[in-house]
Amino acid sequence: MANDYMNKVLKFPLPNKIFHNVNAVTWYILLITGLIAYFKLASPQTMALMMKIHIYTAVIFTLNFIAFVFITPHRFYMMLDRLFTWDKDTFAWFKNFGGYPRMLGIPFGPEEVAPQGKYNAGQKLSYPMFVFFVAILIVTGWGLFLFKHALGKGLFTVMFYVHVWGSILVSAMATFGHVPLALIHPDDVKAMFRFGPGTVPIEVAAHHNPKWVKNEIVEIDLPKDIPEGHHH
Amino acid sequence: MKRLPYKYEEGPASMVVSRRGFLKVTGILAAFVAFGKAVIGYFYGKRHDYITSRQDGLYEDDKIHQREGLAASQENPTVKKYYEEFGEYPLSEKSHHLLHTHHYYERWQLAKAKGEVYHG
Repeated sequence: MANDYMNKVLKFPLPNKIFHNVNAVTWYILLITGLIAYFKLASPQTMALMMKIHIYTAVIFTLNFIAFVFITPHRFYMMLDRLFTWDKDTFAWFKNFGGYPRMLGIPFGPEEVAPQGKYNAGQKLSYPMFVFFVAILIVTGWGLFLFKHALGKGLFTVMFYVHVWGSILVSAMATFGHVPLALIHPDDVKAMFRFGPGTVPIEVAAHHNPKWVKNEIVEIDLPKDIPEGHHH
Repeated sequence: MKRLPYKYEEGPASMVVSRRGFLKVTGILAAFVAFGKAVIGYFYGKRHDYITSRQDGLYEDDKIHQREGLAASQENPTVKKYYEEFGEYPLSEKSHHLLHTHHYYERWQLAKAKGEVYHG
């Protein structure tokens, strides 16, 4: 009997899902606690508690990033390689910004979107910033927390402002760019957050990421018939 | 019969990342780390220079004091005069009350005194 496949492609493998989702949840916990502490939006006692939560969450946030980079470096490299590979079609994406303004009723540029890989040009601009800022926030955060008196005033000030305003800038990009744009692709949201393999229907992938499907996808190579499990 | 959840997946990393791609990503990561190290090193070095030059200044002051016979406080004519005319002798009852303090400031407590909260 022939194997019965679901006509889907694994878009988000498990390591990527774990990293992304732990990163996303801890990011917003860190953002909210950090904002309350920095802008003094609560009583002193509450602010001190917020800072405690901020530090404990930062441990998870840090270990998550380190785990992704060092346990699955090949995934980290695949991601960065795709983000830093720009071809003619990547630049052509800016002619109509991937057709997204058209969705909002702004007929900007041609209707046809240049074929993109796993990431479109907009993602190639913003994701490296997200990735590098995770690293920068980890370094500046622990620097400020553990080495406050060793840093000196100059470095402390630089680190402090990079940590606070950098994170606010990137959070704004994530909240008003990344999140809404993700939500209008329900297949991707399901693939990323469902309990199970991060799959999208192959037609959806072929429509949104034609070059990825064409160049980087393989059909799973299994024996044509998988015998049924033996019951003893 | 088993229904498999998906038919396609990404090829192995060796298929996606070429040798050139690997070197490119490694180069970018190395540049990022090097730049970060340079920024931190610049400020750290500046502070180190400040501390060492301040230290040199203090040693220089010490040498001057030694030349003038003022390296120890009990040799200082002003201090001598204080004890002769007023404070009786070092660690006397009177000097203890006048000179000994119980104040010890921690920097974060100074911040607290200004109405700021110490997180730590």
